[in-house]
Amino acid sequence: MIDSLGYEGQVPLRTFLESDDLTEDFGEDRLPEPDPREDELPLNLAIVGFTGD
Amino acid sequence: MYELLLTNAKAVPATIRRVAVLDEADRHRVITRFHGRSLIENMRTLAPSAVENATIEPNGSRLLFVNLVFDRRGQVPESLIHRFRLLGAANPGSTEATPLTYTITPFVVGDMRPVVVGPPLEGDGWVAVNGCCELGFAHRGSVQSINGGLFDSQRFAIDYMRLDEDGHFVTGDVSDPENWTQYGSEVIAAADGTVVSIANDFPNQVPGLLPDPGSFDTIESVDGNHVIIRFGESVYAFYAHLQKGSVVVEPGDEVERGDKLGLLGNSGNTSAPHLHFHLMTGPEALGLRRHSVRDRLLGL
Repeated sequence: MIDSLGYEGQVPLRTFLESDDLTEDFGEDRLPEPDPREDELPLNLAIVGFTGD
Repeated sequence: MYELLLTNAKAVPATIRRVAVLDEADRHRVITRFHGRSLIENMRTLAPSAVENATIEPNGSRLLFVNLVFDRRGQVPESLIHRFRLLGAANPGSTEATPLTYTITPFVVGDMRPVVVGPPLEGDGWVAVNGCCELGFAHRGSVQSINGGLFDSQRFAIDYMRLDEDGHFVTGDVSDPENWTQYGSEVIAAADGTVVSIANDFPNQVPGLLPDPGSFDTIESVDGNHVIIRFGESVYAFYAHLQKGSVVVEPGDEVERGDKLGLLGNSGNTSAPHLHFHLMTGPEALGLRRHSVRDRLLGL
């Protein structure tokens, strides 16, 4: 797990699985502001930020 | 998360009908069940590949992948046990399958706690590709036969890729690694520790396709350029697929959290630039005893 991260949303599963070359826009479900999280393992296709120490 | 290795050691096909994961201390407490579609979806061959049914041929084996979710730590049993309902050979002389029930394979959870570290990268927009816990993605089902055992050392691994402000991993020609948002990002130490091993001379791959499997002659060449760091007692971190020549640490170096280790690249067995990151209990990236498949025989 990572002690401090910002959860920024999720890459849409269907868009990701149907992509041939990953050139699509995957940011449609990105949050306007990150949600601070502590002691968390980012799950599959989570968008996260690492800004703190 | 763990795996059960199911082996049919009889001459008659065995068909698994139901598997219940139970609290060993209270066997009326069912933690989860597998049957019908859920059984098929979580079963794999040893290769591993998907299966069409839950029948195990004589002398054959299957893997059953188990993911358990609890709302609170206090709900986690001290030990689990598994009840199998199946059609199989009842004894060594059986010539046809009959209904059987076994309650076997205790699995002590004990006081295992997850390891907590800092991030392996900096900045925002990082995507946990192939992260926990779906079987259809690369890591969860990536059981490997190494040094005489089966290991799923990558079950908690993440392939970090990065979105730009417009939501793109790549813009332009996908075969140019420089066009990928994450390419060249600094990879950093997630905790204070000691560098155990590195590789720094494997060539960068061309993004877009996985390399020819025949081009890899060692596990190390599959990992590409990498760093392994010891963070503490039985805690090691594995950073893989770094850029050729970018690794700036050497074995024996002491690092502090946040120190630069190298640059995110596309070396080894990879189809797009990313950082493969996982923690492990020893210095071997893919073959660790404590992460071994739970190995029990079915059909004795």
